[in-house]
Amino acid sequence: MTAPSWNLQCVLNHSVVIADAETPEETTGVADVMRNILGPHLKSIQQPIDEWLGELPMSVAMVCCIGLFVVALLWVWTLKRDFIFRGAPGTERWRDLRIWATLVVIPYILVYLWWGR
Amino acid sequence: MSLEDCTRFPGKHCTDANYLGTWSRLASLIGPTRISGISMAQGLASIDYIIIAVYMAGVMFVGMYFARYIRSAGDLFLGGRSLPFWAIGMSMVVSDIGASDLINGAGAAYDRGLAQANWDWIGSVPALLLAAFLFVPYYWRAGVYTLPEFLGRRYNGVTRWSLASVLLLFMATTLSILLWTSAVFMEKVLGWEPIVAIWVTALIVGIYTVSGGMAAVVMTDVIQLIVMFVGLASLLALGFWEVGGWSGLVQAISAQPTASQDYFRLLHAHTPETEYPWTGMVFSLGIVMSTGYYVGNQAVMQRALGARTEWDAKAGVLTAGIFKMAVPVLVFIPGMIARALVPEMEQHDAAIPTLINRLMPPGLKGLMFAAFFAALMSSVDSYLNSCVTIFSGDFFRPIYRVTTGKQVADRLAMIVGRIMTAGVLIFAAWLAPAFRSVETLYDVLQTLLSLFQGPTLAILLLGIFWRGATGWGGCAGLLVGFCLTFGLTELGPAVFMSKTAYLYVSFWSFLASLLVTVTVSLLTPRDSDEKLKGLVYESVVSSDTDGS
Repeated sequence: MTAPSWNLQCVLNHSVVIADAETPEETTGVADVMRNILGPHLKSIQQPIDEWLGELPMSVAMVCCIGLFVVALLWVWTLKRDFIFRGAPGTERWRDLRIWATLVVIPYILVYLWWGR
Repeated sequence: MSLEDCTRFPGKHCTDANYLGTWSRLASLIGPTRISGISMAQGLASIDYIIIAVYMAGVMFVGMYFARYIRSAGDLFLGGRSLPFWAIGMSMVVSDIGASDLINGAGAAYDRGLAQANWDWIGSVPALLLAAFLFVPYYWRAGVYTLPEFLGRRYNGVTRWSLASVLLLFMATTLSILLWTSAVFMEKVLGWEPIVAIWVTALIVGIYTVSGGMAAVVMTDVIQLIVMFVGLASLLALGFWEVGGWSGLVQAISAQPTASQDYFRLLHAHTPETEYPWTGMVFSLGIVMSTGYYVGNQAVMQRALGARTEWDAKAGVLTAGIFKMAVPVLVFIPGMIARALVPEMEQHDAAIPTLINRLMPPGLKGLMFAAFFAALMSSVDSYLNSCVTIFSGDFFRPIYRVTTGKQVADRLAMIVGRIMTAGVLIFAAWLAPAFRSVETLYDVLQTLLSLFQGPTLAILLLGIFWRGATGWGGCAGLLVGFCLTFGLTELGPAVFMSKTAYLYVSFWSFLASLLVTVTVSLLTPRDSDEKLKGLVYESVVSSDTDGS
């Protein structure tokens, strides 16, 4: 008998996988119970979601993607000036982190508009 | 998921598993058994060896230079809270780029094209904005050393130690794998025995991390980023020259019958055939995984905690967002260029090594190897420092306080921190060769990573935005989330349509943790306003309005 192999499956199954060429690996335990009992139920929940998402046009994907960047940027512009400048050594225009955020996000929006299609 | 599966479905979790999983693959892939016929050191000239040696000596010298500024534990772990924004931003980016990105990321781009860039674009920018303007100010104002410490204050000790244990396990394992990967890389480049290479890497990184602490880590990261970007930009320029620019690249790959129609598209349809469906990229990666990664990973966030001001902390995170734009351009496009130049490459992960051997002259080749070392060392030093910070902040200090009834003296904490750094490094170096034959390592690491992303983000968000989130609510949400990610990862292929099930595991574990935290919080007594002061959104916003 060789040394037990260390892997996550062992932990999940509460079992030890024996590296033996002649006997197939047998694992029983929590993982098998989950796979056999929970798996089909979870699949029945996930499958309709997958089917619905699969029917959506790619324009929806584009809107969601660009929307994520735009919403994040709009949220930044709702933050108070005091909060943005807190700790800054001065209040010069270039230290306004809302402008930094805009300069960071706009190139990404352009990239996704061009190559996301 | 086997090693081969990981090669087929790479992504942030698979290509580098947020720096991890494929370090093991890198080790095997650049080893002699996997990339036959491609020698990383092929044609390495004397000038290349000199450049590598100068680079290593330079990094060690700069790191040791900062030892003179270490006076306390705060200096050791948070750079004395004196880090400028530009150093924080550059350090965050270079810690995020592992040598696995250069190998497996570029290999994945070779295979499936531009969509690989999602991991650094949509998978970083929205999260970095949230981190900069929401999470970092909280951490910074709380004056904490670690993220579990912040959660401990907001929730309770069980929450703190649960997360600290998971993070510690995650980072210590990572460290060993990084060292092993480094050893295999050095064996290939310099012909050293792996065991010698492990101890040499440990010695170089250990000397400057033990002596210079976080300031040394960040400043050497700055050098490492410059070396990496210069090396990769040279490779990109030579590659474009060879292939005839962007239009030449598009023409060459479009003419290949095996290339996907979506090769130059970022968003792919939600179908079983797609590795990167747009739903997973936008909702899971863009919202949950990336945010959980940036705000819940000590190794990334520790730099921001060491900022000299709150403004520097926020600006540093935004600076990382600027540099992030360049990462796919410098790393993944060379992978695509490799496909244009060598269409039938047997091992896709050999894309960049092949380009280096084919395009780079002596001198530049040495610079490129220095870039690889930079990628390796920047990750090792970051994980080492963060690992010890958690060990010291979340275990040693509380245990010392409980057993002696006194706070740890700053000098003692610093000395213990240095001893721990050396101890963790020696332990990791000793353990590293054990990963030589572990093929399921990727499963272990990926599960460890996904264990904390969704659940940690859920309780962080509720803790900051909802006064009603209680200590036991957060604790239950975190622990149930851990268990769920564990179970769903095991069930993944049986439940989820996508080949990249981990995208959805993180998302569902995030939602489940939210639900459990809310439910348990409603059933348990609320925390006092005094306890929540400075920890929830309302109190922080009101402190700004008051001008305090």
